[in-house]
This record gives sequence, structure tokens and C-alpha cells, in this order.
Amino acid sequence: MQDKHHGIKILIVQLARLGDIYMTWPSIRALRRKHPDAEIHVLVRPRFQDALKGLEAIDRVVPFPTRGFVEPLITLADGIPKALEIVDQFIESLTVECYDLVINASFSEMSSFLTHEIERAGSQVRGWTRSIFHNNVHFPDEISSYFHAQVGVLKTNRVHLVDLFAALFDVDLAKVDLAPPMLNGDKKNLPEMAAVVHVGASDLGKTAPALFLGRALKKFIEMGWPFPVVLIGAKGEEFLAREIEYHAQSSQVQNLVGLTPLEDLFPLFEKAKFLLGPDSGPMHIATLANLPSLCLSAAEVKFWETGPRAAGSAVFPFHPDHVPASEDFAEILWDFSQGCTRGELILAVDQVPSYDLQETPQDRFDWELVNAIYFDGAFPVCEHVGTVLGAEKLLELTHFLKEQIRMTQRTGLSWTPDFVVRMTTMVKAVAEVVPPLKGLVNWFLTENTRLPHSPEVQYLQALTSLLEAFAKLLNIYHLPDEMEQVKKNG
Amino acid sequence: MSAALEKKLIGTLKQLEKLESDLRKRQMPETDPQRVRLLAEILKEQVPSLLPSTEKSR
Repeated sequence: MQDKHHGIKILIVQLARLGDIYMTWPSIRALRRKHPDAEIHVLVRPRFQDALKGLEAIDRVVPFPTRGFVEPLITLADGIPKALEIVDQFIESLTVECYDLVINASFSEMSSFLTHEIERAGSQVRGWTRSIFHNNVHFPDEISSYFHAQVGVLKTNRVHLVDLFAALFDVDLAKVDLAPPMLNGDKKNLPEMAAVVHVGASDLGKTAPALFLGRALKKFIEMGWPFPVVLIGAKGEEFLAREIEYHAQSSQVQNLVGLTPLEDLFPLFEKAKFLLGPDSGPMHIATLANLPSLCLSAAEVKFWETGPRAAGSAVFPFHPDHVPASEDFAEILWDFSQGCTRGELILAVDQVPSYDLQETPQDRFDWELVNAIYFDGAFPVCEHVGTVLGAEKLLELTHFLKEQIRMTQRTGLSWTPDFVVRMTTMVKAVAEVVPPLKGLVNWFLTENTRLPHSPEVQYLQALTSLLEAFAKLLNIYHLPDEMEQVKKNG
Repeated sequence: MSAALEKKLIGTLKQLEKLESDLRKRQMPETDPQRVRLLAEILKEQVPSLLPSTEKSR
């Protein structure tokens, strides 16, 4: 037991990048409120550990030494034994801590194997975990399962990551959790009332072209913006800042790119008027600093999952290859700076960006279906014959598998797991042909991986229950009378 | 990352996969196959072409 702590010991595994780390802050603070006496450690990559500076709720930052693991593999002819030795030492250093609870907030394959190592030492786990002896990631809680089934590329989730983390941490967020840290430091030299512009993003595909931004800022200043325009970003983004400065042609532009450590952004944002930038680390700092933000969201970014949450924020979707005219954007920016918003912007509603602008009826159906399965929303009305036919096919597959289980139980023959493998392949194929059923199919496939695989009797009972639940959901879209009518009408 | 280094790391990854498979078959107590797999997963994250698309997105 530690000297100053008498509560439980918790490890948070957060091996993602800056943005995710800042989006984890509110949940870590809420966790501290829930366990005031706990000892809380956070495992992060050394490259991003500055993103925890100022987070008063944690006791220790544990660096994940990626370089140390990989270096022998690069420098030695056969570096595997040495690298494994370093892995062993690192796992030892974690297991010796005897964590009561490990929360894996990383949602990656690697982090799930790592979490399993600590789990093996007896810790309770939330978040993904995986043993090599299982074919799939293990989901010990509902939110891990939801994340696997519905969050990511070509998935339908619309719940903001800040809220998903809170559910994973099993905490209720309060207003105080979304706040800047108490940092001591000299704030005298920081520009006041500034329009802050984050010039880069985690990759070039999410970065607005420098020419576009520079010209837009030039026009914005010419329209009468009386305060400084401060450029911020990482050292590697200096070339972008120089180009923006060149095109903006104004002494009001102050280039602080590469000069502001992450924690200095909090006092800068405290004095600023607004932030303009991509869906990236500084945007999430702005959320904590309650600074209204205009998020330049590249087409593939799901801003409803990671967009700004400070009051008065908005999203401007763009494609790097098809940016609007700089002059037009300058007018949008001007209105935003004056607290007015225009039709081109997607507004934050209830502190979560709404999705009205880009929503098609199909998008709405997909989300409402997921919302109904997981969050007790109403099931959406289906208007497509294909969806009804797809549900019918899935029901047939479900009935077939249930029949096989029944026969196995009746005859006493041993179960053939191949049935389930083949069924899941066919279920996936139906979802490919009938995309509206994807959310439902993803739910079924993920829940299937959560079933206990032994003993066989227990597994078959659990599988039968899952198939019954799947059939119940499918029956909502199984409309035999209507289909009969459609068939009659050709 | 240079092409030569990427090639070397992909080669190392294949070695790790084979080692994990051998260890699982032979159940050698001195090396834990779970740790071998963990090292392989750490390595995968360092080679951009090996990252699954779902992880590139987050």
C-alpha cells in the first residue's frame, strides 16, 4: 500500500495520439472524483506524454518505451532475444504494481495484448484485452463491444469520443471535468483577444492548404479584425506557417509555430477570442479551455466523433483538393468571429456537433438503427424492399443454426463449430449486399465473439440466446404481408 | 522509414510469427508466446504498411 493512498490502484492505458489523450482528460478527472483515494497511473507513448502536463488528477505518468522495444530489432543482427528481454522487464515493471483496475482506452490490437499481460497478473480490466489463445479481442464491458462493432472506418457511431471514454471509465462527467488545468506561469507576454490558427494536422490529408489559409487570413484582417492572429503548431509545421505568413501579408500575424509547448496553449487560449484549425490536439485543448472553435474538418474525418465541444463552436467541412475561395471563407470566418454563423457551418448542438448538413436518409436510418439497438431509441422505419429481403435471409440463417443446435442437443452428437464459422461468413455477405443492416450485423458478430466457448453446453445455450435476440431484432424488419404484396405487384 | 529498414522489420515480424507458432506447439516454458505476440504487435505499429486500416483512421 502506498504512503499517501489508501484506495485502489488504477492504470489507464492511453497509447493513442494527442487528441485522444486530451479527450481522455474529462474521464480521468471524473475517475478521480469517483475514487478520491485511488492511485492513478497513465501509460502513454513518450512522444505524447506532454499532453498530460497539468492534469492534476493523475499520480504518475508511465512511458511506454516503444523505441526501447524496437531498437534491438533494428540494430542487432538477431535482436529478438534482446527485445523480448526488454518486453519482459517492462511487463514485470507493470505487474509488480498490482493494479486493481486497468482501463485500456487505446482500442488497438497491440494495446489489447498488452492489457492481457497485466490482466494475467490479476487486475480487473475495462477495455479491449486479448490472449493469443482466442481468435478475437475480448470485450469485458458493453462499451468495448460497442466500440468494436460501431466505431471506426465505415461504421455508424455518432457518440462523441469524450462520452465514449466516460462510458468506458464508468463515470459521469460534470462541467468541472471539461476545464483547463490550474497552471502557474507568466502569462504577461501572451497575445490577448487573438484569433488563434493551428496551421497543421496529424497528416497532410487533414491539413488545409497554406495558400488558402494565408489568403483567407489576409482578407479577414482587411475586413477589420483588430487583434493579433496567432499561428500555432508543432516544429514540423514551420514550413506551413511561413507560407501562411507570406500570403497573409500582415504585421498582425504572429508566428508562434514551434515555440509554444502544449501546456502553454491553455493560457494562450484563455486570453484568445477563438481557434481556427483541424480536428487535432489543439482543438481538444480548446474544448477544455472552453474556447469557441471553428473546426476545419477534412472530408474523411468524423467530426461528430471528435469535433470541438466548447460553446459557440462550429465545423466547416472541406476537401483539401476542393477548398472554397479564400475570400468566401474569410467572410464565414468573420461572421464566426462576431458570434454569427452561416449556413455553410455545422453547429455544435448541446455541446456535440450536429450532423444535419451531410445527413442522407440512409445515414439517418443507419444511425437510428444503432441507436435503437444500444441506446433504447426507436427503431427506424424501413422503406427499402432490399432491407426487408436481407432481414428475411438473415432470419433463415438464424433458424438454420438454431435447428443445428437443437439437433446436436437432441442426438448427443458433438457440436461442429464450422456451422458458426460458415454462418458468420454468410451473415457478413448479406450485410455487404444490404448495407442498411450493417449496424445490426456488426452487433451480432461482435456479441458472438463474447460468448463463453466452454463448456460446450454453456456455449450452445449462450449461442441460442444470442440467435434468439438476433431473430427478435430481425423480425422488426421482416414484413411477410408487405413482401407478399410487393411480389404480387411484381 | 527507409525501404531497406521496412524490409528488415517485415522480415523480423515473420520470424516472430514463426517463433510464436513454434512456441505454442512445443510449449517451451522459458519463452512466453503471448510476449512474442506482443512484441510483434508493437513492431507492426512501427511499420506503416502493416498497420490495419482501422488503426490508421484513429
